[in-house]
Amino acid sequence: MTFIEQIKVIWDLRGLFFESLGFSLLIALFAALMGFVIGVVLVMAKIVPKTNFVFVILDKLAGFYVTVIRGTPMLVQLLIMYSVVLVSFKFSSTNLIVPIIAFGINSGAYMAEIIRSGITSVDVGQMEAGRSLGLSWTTVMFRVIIPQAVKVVVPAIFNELISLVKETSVISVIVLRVNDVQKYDLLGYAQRMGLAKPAAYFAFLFTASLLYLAVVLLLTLVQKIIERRFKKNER
Amino acid sequence: MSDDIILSARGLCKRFGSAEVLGGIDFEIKRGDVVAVIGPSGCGKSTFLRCLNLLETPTAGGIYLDGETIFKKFSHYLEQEISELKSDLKQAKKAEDAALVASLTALIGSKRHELKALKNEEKSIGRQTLASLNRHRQKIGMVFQQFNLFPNMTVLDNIILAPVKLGKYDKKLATEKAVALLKQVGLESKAHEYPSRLSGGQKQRIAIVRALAMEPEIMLFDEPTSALDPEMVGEVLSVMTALAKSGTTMIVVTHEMGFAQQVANRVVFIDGGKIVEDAPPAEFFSSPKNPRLKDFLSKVL
Ligand SMILES: Nc1ncnc2c1ncn2[C@@H]1O[C@H](COP(=O)(O)OP(=O)(O)O)[C@@H](O)[C@H]1O
Ligand SMILES: [Mg+2]
Repeated sequence: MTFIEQIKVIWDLRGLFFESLGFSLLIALFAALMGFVIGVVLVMAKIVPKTNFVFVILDKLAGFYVTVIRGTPMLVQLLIMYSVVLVSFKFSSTNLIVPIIAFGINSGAYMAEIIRSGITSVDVGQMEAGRSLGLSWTTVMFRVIIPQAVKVVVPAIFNELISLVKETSVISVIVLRVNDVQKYDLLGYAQRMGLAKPAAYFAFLFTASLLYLAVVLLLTLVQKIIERRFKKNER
Repeated sequence: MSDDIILSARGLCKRFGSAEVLGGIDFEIKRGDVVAVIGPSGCGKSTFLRCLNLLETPTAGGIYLDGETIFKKFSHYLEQEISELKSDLKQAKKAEDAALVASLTALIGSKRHELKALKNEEKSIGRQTLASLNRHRQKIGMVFQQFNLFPNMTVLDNIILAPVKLGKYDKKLATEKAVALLKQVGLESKAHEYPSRLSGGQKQRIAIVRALAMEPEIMLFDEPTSALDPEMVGEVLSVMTALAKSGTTMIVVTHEMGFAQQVANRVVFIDGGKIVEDAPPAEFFSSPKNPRLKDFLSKVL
C-alpha cells in the first residue's frame, strides 16, 4: 500500500475512528467521575475523627481497598471484571458499563490519595477556627476545607484523567479476545482494523496515537485555564 | 459555685506524650471580667485556652461552663489512691495487724464504690459533651494568632457562616448584624472583599467580628497581635479595648503589657504548667510575689 492509499483507508474509516475515540473518552470520563466519588468516600472514611467503633472499621476498610487496588495491575482488574462480573450480572460485552466500573474502581484508589493530599494541605487552623465557632466537623469540611483543597487538587485530578484516557487502551486486550464486542476503544479499534488490513497496521496505530495525543493536549489546555482562573480569584 | 462565674477550670492537666504542659490549673472567670494571661513562650498558654473550648482534650481535671460540667476526669486520682491503699494493705497483712487489715479492707471497698460511681458520672458527662460540644463552643468565641479567616469566602460570608448555618439568625438578619459589627471595627467597606486582599490588622479585626457574630458569652484571644506588623497592633488592641469597656468577658493571652495593665482587671502568670500569680494589674505589676514573675517582668517591662 502506498502512503496515499493508507491515508485514504484511514480517511474512509474516520467516522469509526472518532466513534471509538468517543467510547474511550466516555469510559475515561465516567470512570473519573466514579473514581472521584469513591475517592471522596474513601478519604472521608480515613480522616473523619474516630469518635466511634464504626469509623475505625470504615478507616480500615478504606485502607484495604486502596492497598488492593493499587497493588494489582489494571489489566488483571479489568479481566476479572469482564470474566466474573460480566458473567454473573449478564452484562453483554458490548456494554460500556463494565469498563467504566473497572476503571472507576481503580481510579477511586488513586483519587483518594490525591484528594487526601489536597485536604491535608489545608492549614489545620481552618478546621480549628470553624470548630471554635460551634460548626460541626462535616460543615467545616464541606464549606471550608474542601473548597480550598479543590484548588490544590485540580492539577492532579487532571493528570489522573489524562492517564485514564490513555489507560483505557488496556481494554483493547479484551476486545481482541472476545468475539461479540461491538464497541471498541480507540486502540482496540485500531488493532481490529490492523488484523483486517495488515498492510495499513502501522497507519492505524499512528492514527490512534495522534488522536490520543490530541485529546491529552486538549485536556492539558483545559487544566491550565482552570488553574489560571483559580489563581485570579484569590491570593 | 457563684452564679456570675461563667467559666472555670479545676485541676486542669494536659500532657503531650510524656511532656506535661499543664500541671493542674485552677482558674475561674466572672462575667464581665477581662483576664490577661502572660507567661514565657512555650509555658502552655495556648494549650490552656485550647483546653477551655476543648480544641484539646485535657488529660485530667474539670471544666465548667455557664453552670454546666463540660469536662470531668478525676477518676485516675482515685485509682491511684486505691492502689496505694492496696500496698498498705499488703504491708498490714505481712505485719499481721488484724485491726489495720480490717479497716483498710473496708476503706478500699468504699473507695472502689466511689470510683465506680465517679467513672459512670465521667462517662455520662463525656457522652453529653460529645453530643453538645458544638452548643458549648457557640458560647466561647476564639481569636487566633494566625487569624484563620476562611480564604475561600468573602469577609461577609466568613462572618455569617456560623450564625446562619447554626440557625441563630436567618441570612438577612445575620447580614444586618454582621454589617453593624463591621461598622464598629471600621471595616464595613470590606464586606465583599476576600481575606487575601486585607492587611493583617484588618484580618484580625474581621476574625474578632466573626467570633462576635455568634454572640458568645466569653471571648478567648490567643496572642491576637503577635503575628502583626507593629503599626497594626494598635488598631486591633483598640477594638479589644472597646470590647472590654462594653462588658465583654475576655481571656487574653498577650505579650502586650500595656493592654494587661490598662484594660485587664486581673492578670494571671503561668509558669511550669501552673498559675503562679493571679492579681489585679496594679498589684501584679507593682508588687509581684513570685520570683519567676519578677524575673519575667524585669525582662519584658
Ligand atoms: N499538639 C501538640 N503536640 C505536642 N506538643 C505540643 C502540642 N501543642 C503544644 N505542645 C507543646 O506544649 C508546650 C506548650 O505549648 P503552648 O501551649 O503553645 O505554649 P505557649 O502558647 O505558652 O507558647 C510547648 O512545649 C509545645 O511544644
Ligand atoms: Mg501560644
